[in-house]
Order: sequence, then structure tokens, then C-alpha cells
Amino acid sequence: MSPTLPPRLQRPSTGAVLAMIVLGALAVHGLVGTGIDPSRLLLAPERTFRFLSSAFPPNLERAPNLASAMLETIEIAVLGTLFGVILSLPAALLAAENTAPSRLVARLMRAALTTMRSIPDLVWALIFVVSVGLGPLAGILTMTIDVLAFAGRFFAERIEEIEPGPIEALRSTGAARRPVIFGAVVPTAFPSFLGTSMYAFEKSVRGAVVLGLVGAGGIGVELNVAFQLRRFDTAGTIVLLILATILVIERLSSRVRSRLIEG
Amino acid sequence: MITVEQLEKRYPDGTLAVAGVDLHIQQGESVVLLGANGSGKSTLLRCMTRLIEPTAGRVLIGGSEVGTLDEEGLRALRRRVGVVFQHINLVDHISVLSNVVQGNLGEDGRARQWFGWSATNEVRERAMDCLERVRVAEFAGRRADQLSGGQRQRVALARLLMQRPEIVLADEPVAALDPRAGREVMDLLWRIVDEDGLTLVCTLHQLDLARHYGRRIVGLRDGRVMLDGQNAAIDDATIAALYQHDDQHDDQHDDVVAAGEVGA
Ligand SMILES: Nc1ncnc2c1ncn2[C@@H]1O[C@H](COP(=O)(O)OP(=O)(O)OP(=O)(O)O)[C@@H](O)[C@H]1O
Ligand SMILES: [Mg+2]
Repeated sequence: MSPTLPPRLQRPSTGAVLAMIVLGALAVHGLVGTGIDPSRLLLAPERTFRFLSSAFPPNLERAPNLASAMLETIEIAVLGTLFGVILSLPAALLAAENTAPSRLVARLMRAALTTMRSIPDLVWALIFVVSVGLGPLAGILTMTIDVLAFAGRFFAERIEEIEPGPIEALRSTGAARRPVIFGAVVPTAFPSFLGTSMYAFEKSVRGAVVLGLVGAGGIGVELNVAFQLRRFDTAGTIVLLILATILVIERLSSRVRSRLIEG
Repeated sequence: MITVEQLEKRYPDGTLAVAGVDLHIQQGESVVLLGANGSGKSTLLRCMTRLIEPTAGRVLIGGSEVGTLDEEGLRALRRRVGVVFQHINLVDHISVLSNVVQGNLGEDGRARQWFGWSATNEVRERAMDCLERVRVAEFAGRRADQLSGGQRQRVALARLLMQRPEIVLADEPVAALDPRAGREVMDLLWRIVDEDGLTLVCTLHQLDLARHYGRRIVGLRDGRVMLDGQNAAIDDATIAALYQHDDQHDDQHDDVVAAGEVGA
């Protein structure tokens, strides 16, 4: 059989066609069926301008409160990252195929991490507000779960990439499981763990900002109140404060991460 | 000391890497296991201490049947058998001293003995002695990935010494090294084995090295033992056959390769 020239275009698969139809239907239904009033968009520039103009000049009346709320947000992120990273290590060792005690354990651990990741932050925050009450503790627990789900998966992937050679070398000396894992696996994956942890910290500062919207502590509480009382000058100040904080933290963190990669 | 009976390893993908090997090795004997690339040398050595599980056959080491050992027993056996690897297999991100200290993990796996900086004085000092014996003590504080290939394989030898094995299984210890560094490592390995009265199985694919270091040579081809005898009693033609494919078409090409390796 002589090779035939492939056609320029291929017929899309039935699955792709179906997917397009479903997405199209959802888009149309969303625009028509949910009663979106296009005239609102016409009003939007004016209203936004009103918000922006009343946001300036910034209102520094509540500066001390804002500062301490921002500090609380950062602390929530720091503690959440710390606990999350600490829990990620055993979680990753259980989730990675090459270090898990059995396939089944690896599957289950992976499923647990996926579940944690699939439930959005704010939903976790609502759950923790119910279980431990309003305030930063709920926020810390939320960020712990968030970091655990994220870092646990990345750590596990890194562990699975480790070359088997050094592990085999330690096994060949008659070493037991634990010394092999801590002697060969952990040191090899460690630089990548640190980088991932820094990234998780950046992510959790951003995440912790909005936790206050559902009462889980930090600057989000102030933001929520400011919008609800229509104190747009305070709200604007908070938005600027958030922006500045996140920029500074991302700067610092990316500098640390690039150090880690070089070293 | 070591008896291998009808050992077979078939990988899950169907490759029969070791196809019924019989081998008997006396205490204190050094055996060179010679074979071309892919002849099953690494697989055979790994099967001997069940770093991978053989699919059939038996291995007896020092009187105990390896296949029937439980986890504890297997670890006790592995402590007595030091392994040197084709790919050296140091832990790159930690110090040279830590790598050597880890040779002791089979004997003492407590947390403080995991690394050089935390290990007990006795272990640290013994590790230094091992490094001195293979003449790389000056690098003790360096990270393992900052050494040359030859230095790294010496560190691996120090790790082996740390383990105080009775048997050494060396899998192409110099395949990753240039000829000069390779000779140095081979000399060191043979000296250690002689001085400490160890039993050695060393796989090689270079004919000249096998001729130079081997007393007894076992030839492996396609997972089978094709020849087994004293070095001096084996003629060149017999040994060259190890490198020939069954396929007529490939013969010429293989002769060239084999000849090239003699000269290397
Ligand atoms: N994990 C594996 N899965 C499947 N086949 C394998 C595996 N490892 C090795 N093999 C195959 O088994 C055969 C023997 O391989 P082995 O590595 O034991 O040979 P070797 O003599 O050590 O070769 P080399 O000199 O290249 O190191 C080869 O055909 C190889 O492709
Ligand atoms: Mg090999």
C-alpha cells in the first residue's frame, strides 16, 4: 500500500462537535436566559467613575486598623503556608508511586489531595468558619488546606521524577525504608520543595486577602465592611494597600526563588 | 559462597534479560562477568540481592537462600553484599562525607546517622578513614555533584568500604569513566578486594579490562553463560564470540566494535 497524502483538514471528532454545541448552548442560555440587562453595561462607566473619584483621595482615618488587618492577612498566609508545607511532605511521600507503601495508599492520597484542590478556597473558609468560628483561625486552616493540596501534589510529582539510582544504592546497603527516603529522596527533592513552598506562600497571600469576605479574618473583613457601608475612599485605600503588599511579597519571593535555583 | 541456579528474569514487557544462569563462586574468588551491551549483566547482579525480583531460579549467598528471605532477612543479607553501580549513584545534593556515612545505614538506620553532619563521631571518623583509603578525603566537605566522574566512583567505593561487606558486586564500575580514571578505579577496587579478602563479581563489557584484571572470566551473551574459565585458558576467538550476533547481517559490524574495544 502506497502512503497517501494526509488531507489538509480533518473532520472534527463527534466528541469535539458535541462539546462545541454544549458550550454554545450554555453561552446563549447565559446571555438570554438569565435576564442580563445590557443597558447596565452602559451605566457601568459612569458608576465606576463615581467609585474611583470617591475613592480618591485615600482615606487614612482607619490606617492603624487597616495595617493591623493587613498584618493579620500576612500572618494567616505565613502560618497557613508553614502548616501546609509541613503536612505536604508526608502527604507527598504517601502520594508518590515510588515512595508510597503501596499503590492503593498512593491512589487514596492522590484522591484526597485532588478533593482538597477541587473545593475552592472560599468554600473551605465557609466550612471552617462554621467549625471554628469567625476569625483568623478559620483563615489559617483554609490556607493550610490550600497549600497542602497544591504543594502536596507538586512535591509528589518531584519525588516521582527522582532518578532511581541513588535510591537503589541505599537499598543495596540493606537500609530500611525510612533512611532511604530521608537519606536520598528528601535531599534530592529539597531545593524544589523550597521553591514550591515560596510559590505557595505568594499564592496564599493572594488567597488570604479575600478570606475576610466570608469572615475568616484579615484585610478582607475591612474591605467587605467598607464596600457595604459604601465608604469607597476606605475601600480604595484597602485595594491600594493590597496591591502594594502583594507586589512587594512577589518581588521578595521571586528573588528568594531565583537564589534557590542558582544555589 | 555464591550459588546461582537456573536464574531467570523476564521483564514485564517480555524481554528475557537473564535466561537460566548457573554460577558457583568460591569465597575469596574474583570473577569477571564479561558481556556485550544488553547481555544481561546488570539484570543478573540486581537479581542476586533482589534489587529486582528474578522470575525463576535460586540464589544462595553464604548459605542462605535469597528468594525465601523476609524483609528483615533480606536487609541483613544486603548488608553483607556491597554493590558498585554503572551509574555511580551518589546522592548529588549532599556532601561527600554524608554519602559515605550512608554506607552504614544498613547497620544503623537511626535518624542521626542519615547525614554526615549529624552522625556520631565514630561513624564520621570511620567515613573519613574510608575516604582516605580511596584517596578522596580532601573532598569530604564538598557536595557530591561537584566532583569528577572518577572521584565520584571513588566516593562510591568509600561508601562500599563503610558498609564493611564480605561480597562485592560491581556492575561495570568504570563504564562511565575515561580510560585513565577507569584504570585507577579498577586498581583501587582490586586492591580493596585483595587486602580485605572479599569475594568479587565484577561485570565488564571491555575485553581489554577483563583480560587485564580477570582471573576467572564468565562470558554472558543474551542472558546465558557462554564461557566460564581461567583467564589464561581462554583464547581470543572464544571471547570474541561473545560479541557476535546470531544475525549474519550484523557480524561484520560487530567485529569492528569488538576490535575497537580491544584497543581502547
Ligand atoms: N527495566 C527493564 N525493562 C525491560 N527491559 C529491560 C529493563 N532493563 C533492561 N532491560 C533489557 O534487558 C536486557 C539486558 O539488560 P541489562 O541492562 O541487564 O544488560 P547489560 O549487560 O547490563 O547492558 P549494559 O552493558 O548496556 O549495561 C536488555 O535487552 C535490556 O533492554
Ligand atoms: Mg548494565
